[in-house]
Amino acid sequence: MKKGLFFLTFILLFLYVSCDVQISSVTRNIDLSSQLARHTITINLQNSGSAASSFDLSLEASAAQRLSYITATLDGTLTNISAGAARNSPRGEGHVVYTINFPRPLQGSAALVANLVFTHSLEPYPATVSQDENQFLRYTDSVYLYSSYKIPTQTTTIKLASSKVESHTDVPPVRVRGSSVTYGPYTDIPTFTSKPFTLHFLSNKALLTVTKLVREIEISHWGNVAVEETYNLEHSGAKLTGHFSRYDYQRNQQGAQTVVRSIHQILPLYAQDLYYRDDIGNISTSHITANNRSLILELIPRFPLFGGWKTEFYMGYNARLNTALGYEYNSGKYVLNITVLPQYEEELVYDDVEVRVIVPEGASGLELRAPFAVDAQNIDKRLTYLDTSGRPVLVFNKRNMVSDHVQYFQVAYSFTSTSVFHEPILLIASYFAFFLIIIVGVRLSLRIESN
Amino acid sequence: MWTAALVHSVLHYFNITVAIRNVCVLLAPFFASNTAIATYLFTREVTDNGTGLVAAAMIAVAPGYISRSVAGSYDNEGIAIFALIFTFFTWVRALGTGSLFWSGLCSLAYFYMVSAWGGYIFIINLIPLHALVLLLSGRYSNRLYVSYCTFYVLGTILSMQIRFVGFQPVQSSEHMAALGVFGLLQIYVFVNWVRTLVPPQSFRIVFRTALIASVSALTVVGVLGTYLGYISPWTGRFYALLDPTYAKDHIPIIASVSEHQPTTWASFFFDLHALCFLFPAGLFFCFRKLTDLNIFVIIYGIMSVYFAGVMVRLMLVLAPIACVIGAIAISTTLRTYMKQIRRARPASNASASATANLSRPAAAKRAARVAQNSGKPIETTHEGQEQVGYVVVAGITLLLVFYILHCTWVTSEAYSSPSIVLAARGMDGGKIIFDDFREAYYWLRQNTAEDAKVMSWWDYGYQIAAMANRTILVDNNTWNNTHIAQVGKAMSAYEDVAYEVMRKLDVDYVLVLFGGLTGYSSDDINKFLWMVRIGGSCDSSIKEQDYYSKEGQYVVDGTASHKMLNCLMYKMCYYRFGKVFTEHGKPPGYDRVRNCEIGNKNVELEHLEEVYTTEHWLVRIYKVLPPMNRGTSPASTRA
Repeated sequence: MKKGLFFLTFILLFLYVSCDVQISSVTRNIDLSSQLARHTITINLQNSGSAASSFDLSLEASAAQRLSYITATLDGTLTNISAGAARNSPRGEGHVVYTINFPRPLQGSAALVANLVFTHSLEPYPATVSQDENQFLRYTDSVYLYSSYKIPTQTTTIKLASSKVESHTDVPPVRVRGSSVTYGPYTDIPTFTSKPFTLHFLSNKALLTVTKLVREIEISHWGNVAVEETYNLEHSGAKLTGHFSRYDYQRNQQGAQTVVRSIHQILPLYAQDLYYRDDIGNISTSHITANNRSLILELIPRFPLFGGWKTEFYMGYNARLNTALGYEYNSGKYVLNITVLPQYEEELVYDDVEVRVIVPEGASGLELRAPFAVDAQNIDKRLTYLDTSGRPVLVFNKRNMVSDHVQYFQVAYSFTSTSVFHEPILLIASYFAFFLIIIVGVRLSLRIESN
Repeated sequence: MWTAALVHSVLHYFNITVAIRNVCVLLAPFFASNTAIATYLFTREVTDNGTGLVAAAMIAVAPGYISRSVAGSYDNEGIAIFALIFTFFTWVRALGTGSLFWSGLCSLAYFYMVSAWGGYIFIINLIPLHALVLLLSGRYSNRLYVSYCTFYVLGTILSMQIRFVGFQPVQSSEHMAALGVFGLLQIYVFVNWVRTLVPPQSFRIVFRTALIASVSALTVVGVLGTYLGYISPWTGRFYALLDPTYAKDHIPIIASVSEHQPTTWASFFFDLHALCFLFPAGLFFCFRKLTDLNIFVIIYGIMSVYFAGVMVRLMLVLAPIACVIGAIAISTTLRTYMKQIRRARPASNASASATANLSRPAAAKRAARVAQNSGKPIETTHEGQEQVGYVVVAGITLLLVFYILHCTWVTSEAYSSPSIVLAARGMDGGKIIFDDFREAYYWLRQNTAEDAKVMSWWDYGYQIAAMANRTILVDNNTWNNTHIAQVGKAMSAYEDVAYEVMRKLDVDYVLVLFGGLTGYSSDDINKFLWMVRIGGSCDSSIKEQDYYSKEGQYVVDGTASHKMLNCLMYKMCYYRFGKVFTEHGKPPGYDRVRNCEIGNKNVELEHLEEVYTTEHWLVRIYKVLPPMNRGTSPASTRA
């Protein structure tokens, strides 16, 4: 049975491969100047047969795990990409196929540009450095694009964070010029071929990873949206070995190479009542500046973050309700519109993100409209001030996110306007009951003997 | 502590999701407001309604009490003072009414106090003392018998339920007074009962025999109990209370705490202000009109003045009663003089308006009636009596206004700023915040192994335990001080010896406070002599003399002794400090607290490694290195 299924897949795969779409050339640009690996793959397509509707972009299983974000345009028009499906190559290697559906059937030639963002692709080597040493990173990839199509000619250009390249794998022709390395052009590469190369170069970019982010958005129909974000932040670059000397750190500010002194969050101008705290209270080191478009909140951790050091904190702010909440007349629902992730000046990698949208008690029919697929989604309940049945909470999780995910999402829900008065009525009733008990209590005589 | 947990769970039951930390922070102010109510009830019980109100108003702002009840002062004392005053309130209520119900409440309040604070000893000695004084002054009544016996029996049984107390109420010397008075009351009642049965002649014989028998029996039991170890001897702290100089000579750990120092006059005034002067006046008024309950106020007042004089910390116990006695003084004085003003007013009104219906004799008659109603003989009105009244009332008003101003000022200046975040004014007048303690603690919390053990001086024990969430060797519980002496020994020894001690104690990190860069004077170098003394109290090889310079002074500069310049504490504080320029025009390594250039600028650490130093160098953390694989250090050869 299993074998039969396997065979069927194989046939299907073969059918796909024998489709008329062909690659005429591939140009890859890999940007390693930040802590991410940003691939811009330009694929020139040629269709000699009948109109094709899609193209399969394949990734090796290990690369697919590190893939954070993917978009593609066909001649400048954004395409729709279906979720990755695990397949096996004719040689039995596992890989993941992303089917790029063309906006219109393809006839003749066209340029397909795919943007892929990979996280955790740069490995500090050596893994530990001392306080004043430079950090070197290692990047490993294939000089060929892993593909289910034959590639007649292709080039790969890698942009590094610095021009100091310790070593590179020699797969001729290869050219190192300044901070960029070019592999290729290579010709006539068969399908599903890979040939690894490794680059070892200097990069003092901090590898900042948010191992866990919980972003909580609480709506109050009394006119407020509260946003609170809880961070587990880690510097995942080369670990600081040996001792930390404050003397050296203060004397030689440039010496401490990969240290993170602060991160800057970009907030909307209408954000107010900002706070920045952790388990042991307010963190007194933060600054806020404003330009005419946004507020810039400089979050300085209690201690400078060296490689391998961690910290935890939470911050939040309030905003007026109408900045984020709208009303949809045709469905009769309120719609919250807000970004999935906060925006930072620095490049951060979010390993695990949980977004919680808390709507007022009495709301129902919660519905998530996300710009991308989420990993998990469920409805929770929270009991807090003046609640009797609890507030519905829409929770969704997504792993491995980057700044490209800073996009708006919507949560729609039904809410009757009279439910707003639930809380004041509760308060009035309880005070009334309390005074009533007192009034009756003081007039009641519980003495056994009469006076 | 379980009070906070209880408040927290009750609030959460009603879906009021207040964080436990906020509950803890606001618990002390909440209980302070309860204390004000309890003080009102207590004073009203002893005197009257008006005095009660004055007392409550005074305790509400008294700095002596605010020092321990500001938001965030999450300490046993915060709750305990409320429990103390409430116990006393129920006691005077019970004594006044002779009601079993109130005596029962009194023992419950006492139970709460026992569970909250070790200072319950004060209650269990003060109430028996009151009973004894009443007995001796011939004020015995059945009310006293009922309330005291109920309180003692129930209270003792309840207090024995607390694990910390256990069997102490029947064994330790601190509790013996209460037991003694209990016994005495029984004997007294028994004797009275016998007196009604036997003729006077034989009664004297019976009385003498009974007295001698009971006294000798008590002595025998006492001596035997002490000898066999059933009755524990008095603890050092208790001696320290009775003899202020005892601690200085015998228990350095108690003497090292600033809270345990004898109180200065300045701090009496600082914490009590007007109450200092009102206190004797109030006592005078109490003596003038002695009642059973007044006597309690007098005893409590005098005892607490003595204790507050011995230890600064016990100012806390004095503050409430000072407010009560002060309130008695103020309200009695005011009442006297207000009466004079009131009495004079109808007369003057009448004289001013000749056309008024009220004729002169009628006014005088009315004044006389007022005087009669107040139960005093008709006094002849003197010329200018009204003016005197005005002056006194104005004076007291002024005093109270100044009291309020002083209290507000003291509270805002001395008691409101958190001690964990220091603030200073910079050169440009801007505020500089030194948040180094939390910086270091949070670093420990985030970047050390969860089971890491931190050695530091005991002052910061609770802070590290709570904020850094790491195991500590010694904390602010100083009941037993041998382990603190071990830390003192490690800090004051040469690095090799200290390393052995630290290895034995399984220490991973060492934390020291160093103020030499910023000028923060309560750092570890200034506390260091206490470490030497406390270390020396358990290990006689540590001698305080070794740490003084040849001139016999405690210094850190070049003239300091070799031992001082090379002990672990010195090394850890001044590691790499020798290169730092702290002040303009001064050489590097200039200590701004001790105002001198340090004596050992090339500190080398062999077994320790600097792992963290905070922004202003206030906290320095060192890691204890594992023993060398192969080497010549004494520790590694032994291991």
